Amino acid sequence: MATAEQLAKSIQLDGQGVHVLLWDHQDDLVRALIVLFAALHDTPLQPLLLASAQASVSDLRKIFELRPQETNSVTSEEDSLVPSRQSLLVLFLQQATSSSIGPWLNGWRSALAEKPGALLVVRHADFLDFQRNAPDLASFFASKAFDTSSMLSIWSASTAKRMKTLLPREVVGILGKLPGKMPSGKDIESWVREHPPLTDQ
Amino acid sequence: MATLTDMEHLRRVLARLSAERPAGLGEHDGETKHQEREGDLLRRLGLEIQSREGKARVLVTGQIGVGKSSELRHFFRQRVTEKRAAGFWVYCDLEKEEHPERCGATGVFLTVFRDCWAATRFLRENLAKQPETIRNKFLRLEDEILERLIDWLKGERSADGEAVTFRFGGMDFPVFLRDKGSALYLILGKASQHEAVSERSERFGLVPDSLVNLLNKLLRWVTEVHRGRPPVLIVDHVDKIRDPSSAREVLVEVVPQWQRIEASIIMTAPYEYTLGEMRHSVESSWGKPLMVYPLEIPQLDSRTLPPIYMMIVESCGLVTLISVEGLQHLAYYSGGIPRSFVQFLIQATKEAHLAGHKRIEPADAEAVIHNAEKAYQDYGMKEMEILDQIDEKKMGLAHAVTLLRSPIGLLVMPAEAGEQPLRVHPLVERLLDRYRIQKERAAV
Repeated sequence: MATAEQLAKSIQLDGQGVHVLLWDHQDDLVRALIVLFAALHDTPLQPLLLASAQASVSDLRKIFELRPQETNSVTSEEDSLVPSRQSLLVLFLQQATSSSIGPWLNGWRSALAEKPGALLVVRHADFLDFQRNAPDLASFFASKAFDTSSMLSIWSASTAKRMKTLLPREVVGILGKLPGKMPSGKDIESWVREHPPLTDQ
Repeated sequence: MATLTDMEHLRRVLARLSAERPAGLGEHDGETKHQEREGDLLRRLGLEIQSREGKARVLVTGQIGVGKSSELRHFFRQRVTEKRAAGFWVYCDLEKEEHPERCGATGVFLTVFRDCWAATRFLRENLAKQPETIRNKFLRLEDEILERLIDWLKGERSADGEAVTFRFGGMDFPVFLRDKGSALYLILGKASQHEAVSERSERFGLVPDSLVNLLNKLLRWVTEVHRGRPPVLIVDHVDKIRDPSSAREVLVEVVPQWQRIEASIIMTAPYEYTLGEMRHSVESSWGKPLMVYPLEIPQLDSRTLPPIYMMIVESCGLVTLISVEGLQHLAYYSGGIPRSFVQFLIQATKEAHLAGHKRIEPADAEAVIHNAEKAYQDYGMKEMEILDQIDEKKMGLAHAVTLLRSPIGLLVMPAEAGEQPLRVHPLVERLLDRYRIQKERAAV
């Protein structure tokens, strides 16, 4: 059984590639994200909801496409065509959109995997369908898929210090559009209290 | 002695393993070292190129992750080290800054043009060393290509003539012309990207003849510089075109366009579109595609491993840091798919570190395999039924395209005595056994 800290460590060690976070219930997802974001405290994140193919393509094109030159000082040819990305993309796939959005993400396999990588948040029920629709992207997942429903509530003291009981506002906004109900702040507080951190080694 | 509990050593090992990129020389971090594999793919490619100089048209195909790009890159590198003798070789990459999924023929053509142009960079930078006639020919050609592209893509020159602005997807894309070589690369790069991502209604349409002619002029110029040796273009990641109509367009409908290009072409093809109803059309245009097969799958209970697995382990410095049993398990359950094997090694290395193990123990390998097996838990009755039937009858592959996709359920192994053996992926074997037991019980 994995922990959200292990997912964070895998993301940090790889420094590229696409990791997957599977979920069934929002309670599990929120808990996993709280630990994950605390463990990834140094990594800038860019959350994005992929709800329809049209909107997703438009959002992702802004991130991946080449931008116009700002000056007439032409740099090296190869470098001039590489859009750079600083943040880890956290892509929340809306329920039942695998067949429309999957092929688009498949085409951007290489761009998604570029440093610092991406985290794809997918409902368990959609995962097989997603893989069928994004076979090339999925061939890189291997053991990089983590399941929130079987995650252990274990974290280190250093992660515990950084853990917040509230997720960033933009993530809360996204979760509000996904199926299910977010746990209340009180639920999260009591969950954190019930699970004291492990001592850092 | 270095162990996997040591973070620095862990980082060193992981830096020599990458499942994200094709295998290479292993000289840089984030690159797995390429290892020679069995089979005669490279010899066959070499024969095609040599025997049909400038006219070879070869498709290379195989399942996801079998190492098509790694083999083609290795083939390319081998030739480029002998550049003078072998002529001008270009590696065109449809995935670079692009979106191959729905890329049509025009997108592939623009990518080829972009990468051919980029490959002339060394020649352009050393143009002064060329005889005057060759130099002038190139400068005229550069102007001609630039002008034609501006026309076709409806660019608008600035008042001072120093820049051209194109509109791609409703956004302005200005390109400054001070350095024409870089400007051309930018225009071709942006145009090919736009062509791959845009809706069909926003695309440029078919490539005009004049552009095919200009690419040929460029290839002819390069041939002249290389003492008459015609160029070879390797076009990779065409196999990632998954949209059926785009794949049909590239592999079948515009074959006459590819025939006109004055260079040998090696192109990857999506495996599923070389089967079933498209098999005949593809083979009549390109000949039988060359297959890259999975590696030999070792026996689970045998202590002998095909050498390539050990060579990969040695090259990343894991040879003393993995138990024999652990390695055997990872090799077997990779199904002979090199990408999976490298992914398993990466994951097992991390598992060992997290468990405080000095080396990869069998338990770490099992944890990785157990995790990978989960990907098959969502297989429904339909998938299991097809898998069961194909495993028994050893035929019907064209109807099982989804099983060739991730998570891979079926493996197409090297042909033996004229037969194309199909094999259930080791990761799905246990699930299939359970399905068969249930089926028998239901029948009773």
